[in-house]
Amino acid sequence: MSIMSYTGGTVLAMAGDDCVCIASDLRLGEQMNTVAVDQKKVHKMSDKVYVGLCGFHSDAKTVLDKIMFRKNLYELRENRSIKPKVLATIISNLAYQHRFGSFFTEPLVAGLDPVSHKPYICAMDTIGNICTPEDFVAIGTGAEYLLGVSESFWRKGMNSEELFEATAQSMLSALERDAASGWGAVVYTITKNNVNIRTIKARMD
Amino acid sequence: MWGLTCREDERDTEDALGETFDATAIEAPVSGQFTFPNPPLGLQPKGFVNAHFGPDSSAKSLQFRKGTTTLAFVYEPLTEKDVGGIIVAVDSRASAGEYISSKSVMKILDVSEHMVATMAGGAADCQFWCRTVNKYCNLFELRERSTITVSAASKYFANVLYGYKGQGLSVVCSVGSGSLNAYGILDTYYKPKMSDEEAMSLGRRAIMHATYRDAGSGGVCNLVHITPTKKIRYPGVDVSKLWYEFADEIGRDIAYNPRDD
Repeated sequence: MSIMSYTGGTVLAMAGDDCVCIASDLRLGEQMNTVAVDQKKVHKMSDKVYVGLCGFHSDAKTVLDKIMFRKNLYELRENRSIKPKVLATIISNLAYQHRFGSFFTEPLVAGLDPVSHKPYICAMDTIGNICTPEDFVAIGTGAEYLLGVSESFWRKGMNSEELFEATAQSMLSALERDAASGWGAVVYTITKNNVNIRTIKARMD
Repeated sequence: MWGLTCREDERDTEDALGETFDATAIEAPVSGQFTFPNPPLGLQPKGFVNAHFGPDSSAKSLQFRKGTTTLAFVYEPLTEKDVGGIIVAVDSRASAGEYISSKSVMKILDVSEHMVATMAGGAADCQFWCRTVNKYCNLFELRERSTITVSAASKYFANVLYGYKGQGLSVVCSVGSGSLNAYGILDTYYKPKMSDEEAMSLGRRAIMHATYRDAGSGGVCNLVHITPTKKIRYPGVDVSKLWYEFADEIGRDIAYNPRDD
């Protein structure tokens, strides 16, 4: 088993009409053994910007601290809240600085632009190659399953409720086939007015 | 080639009373009657299998990695109306690495009228060799006119497998990756005397807890109850449903609330 699937975990982000959804499973494992079932992989960066970190959990924690540090410095210097695209570039630079000995974690950024409320989603590989599709992105051990199933659930111009449904259903379907993720999931629906956090019931095996 | 060699003239030589029983027919079937083609160019079978289907293989979905939880225990009846016997319980997940290749595998295989085997390890290896033992048991019963003992069948099984030592066969009987978790439940709640109901729910609960902790196990819990007279198969019960019932029973709050955000 590779280090990228040692602790397991999956994150999915979908973009809709002036809203984005970001979902994460809750499992933390050590190879085949499940250690905890309350580890979300999505973290709040600012009001409407969230980052997901999959891969090796220890590295994900370290990288989260480093991202927080750089993001806080940026916000203090600029005295305004960070845009998701800027955050993605910051994370990409951080990841590439470790080009020849990278952290074993794949970052994902999802959020709304604080001014224009334009949705933004992107995912990166371990050394910071940003990939910005307009529909959905997935990272982690269940990414392959998610991309396949999201292809059929995603529609253009979904409102926040439809988007939540599509994200939750895609997540649940992927968790059925990925042994390294699951044990519950949490979905963040980000709209320009509020962020709705919902836990979804999943299979516990 | 496949199975026993049996000469035409040896057949039906005994009469109804078995007085002229042919001495050659008493011979037990010999293991090692199968001929499997070897990999080409004199490659070692184990090395060949490991290179293409082992942990280092790049074809992840072809890897022979099967997580499993299976268990069995004996119990005495508690009251008059219980029958007692053996409970065999298994999960139903087949996985290749972290990929779940099937959610509904039947891991309890029939060996004879009153015997079952549970499979862990390579599914094809388990199924094939259980079929072989099944055949041996049937022939034994026809020849000896008495049912084969469990120890005789398992000795035969062990001998056959020993013949393939070092060739990379993966057959594990009665355990699996999640079994350590199952032992925890069995050690805590097992009693020598139980009602049938109690014994079956213990079997299911042990499987459920194992599937909860072990990523290699899951799906439904299949169960067989072997009584002194017969073998009863019970339909699969969803282990996730069992877990939510358990959480409800102990009053655990299943809702997850993120601490931050």
